[in-house]
Amino acid sequence: MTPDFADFYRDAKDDCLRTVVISTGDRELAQDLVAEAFARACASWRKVARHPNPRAWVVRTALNVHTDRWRSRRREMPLVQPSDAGLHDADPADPAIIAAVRRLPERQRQVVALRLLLDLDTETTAETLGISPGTVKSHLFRALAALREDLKLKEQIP
Amino acid sequence: MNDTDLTTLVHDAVRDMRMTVPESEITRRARRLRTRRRVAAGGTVSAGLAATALAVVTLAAPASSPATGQAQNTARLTAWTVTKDPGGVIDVTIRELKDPAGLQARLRADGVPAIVTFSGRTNPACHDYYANGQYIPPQYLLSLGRPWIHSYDNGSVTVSVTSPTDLTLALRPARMPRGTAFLIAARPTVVYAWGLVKTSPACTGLCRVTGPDERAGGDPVPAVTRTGPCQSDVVRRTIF
Repeated sequence: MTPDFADFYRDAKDDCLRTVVISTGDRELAQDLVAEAFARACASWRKVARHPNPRAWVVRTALNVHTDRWRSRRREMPLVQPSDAGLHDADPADPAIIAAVRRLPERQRQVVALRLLLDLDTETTAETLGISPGTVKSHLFRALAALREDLKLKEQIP
Repeated sequence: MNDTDLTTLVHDAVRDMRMTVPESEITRRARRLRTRRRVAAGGTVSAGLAATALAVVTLAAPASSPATGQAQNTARLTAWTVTKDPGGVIDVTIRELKDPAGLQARLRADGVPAIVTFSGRTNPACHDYYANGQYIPPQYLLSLGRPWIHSYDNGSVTVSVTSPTDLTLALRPARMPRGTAFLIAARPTVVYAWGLVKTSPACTGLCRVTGPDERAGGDPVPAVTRTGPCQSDVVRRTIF
């Protein structure tokens, strides 16, 4: 492994994990996806290091792996359930916010994750997700509105 | 609540979340990916290049079973390979269900209390399976993800499935709970089971034994406790 990849992994791993957790809503799944994406980045590090935004590459790869797995397993009934899905009691994440984010449509979750957590600009987010910048803005606007409404309703419940 | 407040809330919600996969695990996965790519590339070109790919695999595997495959243009991959890295992680790759006794002996020599059977017959004394003791076809796991990778039992084993026939295990004996052994079982139809079992003379033939450290040499000879064969000639013997 080149020293560059070690530095990159140390600096980027937590941000990428948080981004994918917000995108998928599942801490353990997200960790597995991000680990797989970093392994692929490490295996092709000379190429990935030249990418304009290697963090975005890792998150995009993790989301692609997630999509591939979902396509493969959607017609399957699981024989084994290696671990409990979702967030656990000991997880440091705020369950109320995570739950509100999970209620968003998948694409909105991804936009929220990339724009707010990974701090990507609109153009890079659009490129990463393969959608237009206008669609990114629209998804972000709707996502924030839905989150605001959701959290406001929660505050009103005694 | 404005957009800035919302952004702060989302940030704060996951701020303390940390990736717990060690860097060494990432680089190990990357090495496997690169090896697979090399081997796959070797398989698509001439027999000469296929032989080169074989050399790569063979060089990376200091302990292995006898080679198989007789046809002139067939890559002669070994049935299984065992490698130990400096961090104490032991990689096992099983490609064919051959020589289970050799694999078991190799693993025990590398410090893994292991029991390996490819006969498909389950030893009733090994009833104490942990969570993952059921037979699973690799094809099924591949349908869940390609490659399919998962860690079990406090990280004592990471299982990778990359093809319909191959099973790769990364074993960390230091993380195995006391009094357990690692079972690898397979049926001739190429379905695998794996998991921790309790060591016992009837299941694993292993005991916790205390005696002189045979590796130490010289005087005084220190006493150590380790897992070993129950019939071992030792000072004191304790069955788990």
